Amino acid sequence: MGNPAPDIRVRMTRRTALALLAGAGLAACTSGGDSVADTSPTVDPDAGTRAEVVAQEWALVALYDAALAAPSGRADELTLLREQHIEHARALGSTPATPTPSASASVPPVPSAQDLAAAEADAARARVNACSRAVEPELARLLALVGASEAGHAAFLKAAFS
Amino acid sequence: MSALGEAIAGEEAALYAYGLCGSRLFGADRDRALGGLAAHRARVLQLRDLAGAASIAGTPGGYDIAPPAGEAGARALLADVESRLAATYSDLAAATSGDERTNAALAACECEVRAIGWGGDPEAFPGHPTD
Repeated sequence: MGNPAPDIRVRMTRRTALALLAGAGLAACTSGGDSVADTSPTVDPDAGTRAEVVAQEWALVALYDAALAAPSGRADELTLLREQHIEHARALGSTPATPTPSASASVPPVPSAQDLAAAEADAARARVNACSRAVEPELARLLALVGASEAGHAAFLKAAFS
Repeated sequence: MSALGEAIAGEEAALYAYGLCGSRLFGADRDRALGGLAAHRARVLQLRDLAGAASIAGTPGGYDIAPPAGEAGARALLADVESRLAATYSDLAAATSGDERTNAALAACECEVRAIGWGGDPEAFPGHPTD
């Protein structure tokens, strides 16, 4: 991965996920649990799952960055897909990683549309696995949605670039 | 309604939409519609099996959906139905665990893949428009 580890704040993570779900018309209650999180940040049983998925989302953003560095007639589509991975990472509570010059040494060679489609399909499978492991139902819901999005990305890339 | 009930209702609605749209599609789109129809039939049987004797409402006689005008309208309706059903399956994933949850998450992926196949736009959160 070329990205520095993005910071992950456990409580923001919960809030953001709940905000997303509330926006989807689902009842979400944030009144309880805050004081517990204040004193013991390790109480989140999903912290490892979230951190893993967030890192994979930023790796996908870096992959699109590498693809977009080469001239392409499909930059608009690639940019749209890239931005959706940033939305995924944000919904999981992460903030954008700041690109650093030192990361350029590890930037992958220009990935093809097939490479991107394969990475999206892998990501969708990983999201389904992470969804199965999630303790909080709200996280399971978010991961199922993110996995569906990425499965759709893979299908879109295969159709648009074949 | 329970998440399982919502998923069954969503599958029934998808079957109805495919029936409505199938006759307006031709060639490769007709084949795609038949594939989608078969997939939804299999899923609704699976869900009804899961529900067992639980009281789940029967199939409604019809839906308040205007018949699509032409092929483009049929494709757009199916893209919308599939994308919404992906969100419904995400709700089911939240309400279940183990194999049932894995199945629900996989079904959400399959729905979104079909939505894209019908020409739907890629979405960060399928079935949840951001604005």
